[in-house]
Amino acid sequence: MTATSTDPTWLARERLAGYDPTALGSARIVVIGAGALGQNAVLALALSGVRTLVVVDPDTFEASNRTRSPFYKMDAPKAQAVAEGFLRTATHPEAQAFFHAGMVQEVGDLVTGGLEKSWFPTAIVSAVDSNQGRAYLAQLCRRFAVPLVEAGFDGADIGVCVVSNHREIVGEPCWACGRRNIRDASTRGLCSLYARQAEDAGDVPAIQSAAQIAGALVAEAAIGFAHVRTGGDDDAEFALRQRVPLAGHRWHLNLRTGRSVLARLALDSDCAVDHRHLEPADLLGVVEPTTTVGDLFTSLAVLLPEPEALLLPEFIAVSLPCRLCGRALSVGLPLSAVSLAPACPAGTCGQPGAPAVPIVRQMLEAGDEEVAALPLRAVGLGPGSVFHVSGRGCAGLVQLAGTVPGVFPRAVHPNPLESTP
Amino acid sequence: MNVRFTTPRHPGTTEVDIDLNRTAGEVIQSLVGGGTLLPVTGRREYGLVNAMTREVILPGRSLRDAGVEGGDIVEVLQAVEGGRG
Repeated sequence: MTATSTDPTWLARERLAGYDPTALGSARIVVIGAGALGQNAVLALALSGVRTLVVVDPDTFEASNRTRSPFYKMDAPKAQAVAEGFLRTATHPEAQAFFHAGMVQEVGDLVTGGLEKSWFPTAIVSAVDSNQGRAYLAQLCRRFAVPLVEAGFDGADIGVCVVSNHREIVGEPCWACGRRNIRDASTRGLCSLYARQAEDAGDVPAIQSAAQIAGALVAEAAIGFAHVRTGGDDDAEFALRQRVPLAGHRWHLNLRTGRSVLARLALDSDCAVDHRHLEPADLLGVVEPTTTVGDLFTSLAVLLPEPEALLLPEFIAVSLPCRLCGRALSVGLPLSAVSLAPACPAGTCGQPGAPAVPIVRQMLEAGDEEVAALPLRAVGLGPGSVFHVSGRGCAGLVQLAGTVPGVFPRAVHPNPLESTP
Repeated sequence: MNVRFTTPRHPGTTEVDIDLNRTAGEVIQSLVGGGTLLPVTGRREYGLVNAMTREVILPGRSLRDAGVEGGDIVEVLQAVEGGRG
């Protein structure tokens, strides 16, 4: 018989170790990157009794992933296969999983729950390959005050970094503090491409034993955040110290020597990440996503008179010229996340001609005809997006409606009979 | 001034004669240049930690300003990326 969440035998041993089944039942962990680290983290989260998982990854499985992929399924989209694997492995009787088989930059604000917080994550696990992706997640989590748990490895060397991003902790350093190479353009693009570049350079992207240890570390930190209760007699810092002692630290360990270095993060006044949180009090309201940018300006009129300009959180590459034929390619992603020299999909290039003019925008103006007819996705907006808007005598933040359960596909248990009591 | 460096990958410590007025970033460059550390790549980056205070020394900060004195141990923290594979 399958245990239920109220069954005293469920998680009986883990309760002694401080796990609260109620906290695990309300935990929503978002894992960005479904490679070796992400999968091993998901495995630990599933067995530990976490109920809700969200997985984001743009790639499909390749044969070379087999040796460090607990949820390997040849040629399957990683995000979907791992979400299904979570359901197959989960011990929570009402486990649920959602996935996005694309880049996190397409859905970043959505997975944070935005400012309205009708859906919110307990923690975001950064299990991506590139520092570009990590920097994006560090900025995203800080903006929306979402805990960030990050890890990576280089052979047997493992690095872990945990940041609470809690609003009540003033001056907390972020993941990027003290790092200098986080905007390195050479690491832009798809992770599979990045992995190949690393391979060509003679690097070892991952070994299973390191992925397993790193996955367990990030899972435990994410579970810790699920147990943090602030308010009452405990202040936020005390509560975090009790339940997530790694918060505000970086830890480096080598699997073979057994040696480690634990260090407190130091606040960097020159940090590339903006440390300010977005303030829920600045939210003017929530509007439904529209078809085009022009329609969005029209619908914003219910929140402020004569909306004039919309400021996106980052520069968005609306379209860039193909490096081979020069034709304009739609992008719709933050400039920091894309290759500056993209190419048409194989076999679709036209006759070489004069390269199209790149269109990059952060400010969208109501009268700009060049962007008015564009779909929202072309300027990096979608369900859950939060942006700044200004009009005559009024300014503030607006969120587009949408939550993860309403937008992302829900994973289906690959063998439903296994999950029936 | 002699400062001892230790890193999880390499058991033991390496004693290095170093000017305490140099910044953490400069010290890392010299450790890489001297072969003590593997080269910095897109996937491998280092930080220094004052073993006494257990705090990361920011790259632009001098060892002296971070409270490091001759004979102290400074630990090398390796920031590694690569979460997939």
